[in-house]
Amino acid sequence: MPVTPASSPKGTVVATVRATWSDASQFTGTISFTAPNYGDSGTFALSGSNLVISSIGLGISGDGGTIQRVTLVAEQ
Amino acid sequence: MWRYGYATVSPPVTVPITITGSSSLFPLMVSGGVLQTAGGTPYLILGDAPQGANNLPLCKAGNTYAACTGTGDTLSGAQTDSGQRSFLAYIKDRQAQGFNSVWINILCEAYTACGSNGSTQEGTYPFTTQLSAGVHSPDTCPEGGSTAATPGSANCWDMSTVGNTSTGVGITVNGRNTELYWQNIDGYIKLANDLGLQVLADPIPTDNCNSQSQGGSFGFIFLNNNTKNAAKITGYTDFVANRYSKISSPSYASNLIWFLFNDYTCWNPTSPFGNYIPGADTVFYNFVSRLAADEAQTGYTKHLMTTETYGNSNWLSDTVNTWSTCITLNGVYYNVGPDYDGGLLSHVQGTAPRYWSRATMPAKTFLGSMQVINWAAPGLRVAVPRIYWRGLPAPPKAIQPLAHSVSASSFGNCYSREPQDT
Repeated sequence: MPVTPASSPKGTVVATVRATWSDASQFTGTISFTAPNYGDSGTFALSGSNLVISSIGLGISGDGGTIQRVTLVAEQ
Repeated sequence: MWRYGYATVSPPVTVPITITGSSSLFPLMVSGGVLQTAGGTPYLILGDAPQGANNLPLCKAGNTYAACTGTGDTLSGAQTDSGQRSFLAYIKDRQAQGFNSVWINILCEAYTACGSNGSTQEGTYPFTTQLSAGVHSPDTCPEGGSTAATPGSANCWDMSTVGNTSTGVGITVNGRNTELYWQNIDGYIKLANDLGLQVLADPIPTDNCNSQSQGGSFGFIFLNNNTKNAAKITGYTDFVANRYSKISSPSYASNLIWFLFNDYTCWNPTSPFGNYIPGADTVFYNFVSRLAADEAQTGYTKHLMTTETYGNSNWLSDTVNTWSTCITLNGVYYNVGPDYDGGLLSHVQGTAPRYWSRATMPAKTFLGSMQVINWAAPGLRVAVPRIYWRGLPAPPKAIQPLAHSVSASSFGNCYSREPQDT
């Protein structure tokens, strides 16, 4: 589970996102947010293969001591 | 993911992200024309208006934070246990609905559904002693025959008898222990803080301007004390600053905005309310300027201050005194556009509008008539605050559309006045 301090600035990389096929073939599609949590109301964003604190969101300074959730889907 | 022929979309995967450390919400600040948390996140006030919270016990277990913290009053519990019909049950419900602010009159009397002499429901008083004779006309003080008697209204209280004005600690005189009253007020603020809510604290509402005997609120307590000695007013100011703004005070409140006086420009002869009081602007301003000066001291927090009686869109604002050096959030005058928002805050003083918030209707009826919270029908909710968020990317995620099942009758006027609704 990714862990990040509430003091993390916008743009901070929270996790790396990677999709793999069950047959080990290369994943060449896209990863995006989906229901039910999407990117936590714009708090998080995807930047390449990184899950980051969105530079245009509200940040996480008010979220200390909580668990926030995003939901991802891979499509190829 | 598993590959099944041409299957191309994976099942959704939810990723929990643990965010460590404490939330840095309060005290709120203004930066770049935007109301923000202490951590720099834009903050949209979404407030409910329990002005008359003194009508309720703090919790079933008592009327202090120490008695109430960690106890289990809930709205659902109140259905079968009337002892749980408390502020704690109320504020838990409001937090669960997504509110982040509550407006509480920390002095409260009958105009906002509290006891006529300013007492709490459990019979504690904010002051100990009445003024002696010779107050502002038409009032006559003391009420009940002596300065030690319990008055019938709040107009005659000597504001300097609130407690030790240098320490912000209550006193006991004439059998009245003001510390008990102020511990109750502490409880509102601390329980709110525990739930991540701030308190818009009105230290002295002056609704309707008139003497209380003529339907007013605390306007004449100002005038009566000023007639005797202006230092009585500033004594009260010092008390609240030393209690709630001095960082070393046990009652220090970071989750507080001063929401001063409410919406009556008592000093302006063209006020639509018609209860003109010459010179009231200067008397009121003495309180404001003293509070600002108190909070400017080292070791104090300078809380944000706002009032509907002074603001960019209020052409009835006082032009004699320099309120703009004290007021840090623009107030919006009652029923006046273009940025009227239903009675609370809009944008930051001196800047172009950036965002709006919508409080529930100022709730004279709060809890008194049970129109806002109905213990017998907890599904009855407050009106949906309308959220306007301009120039910023998205509403705060904590603010979600709320259930809206209340009768429109109590709130219809609010909606019809909303210029953005038309």
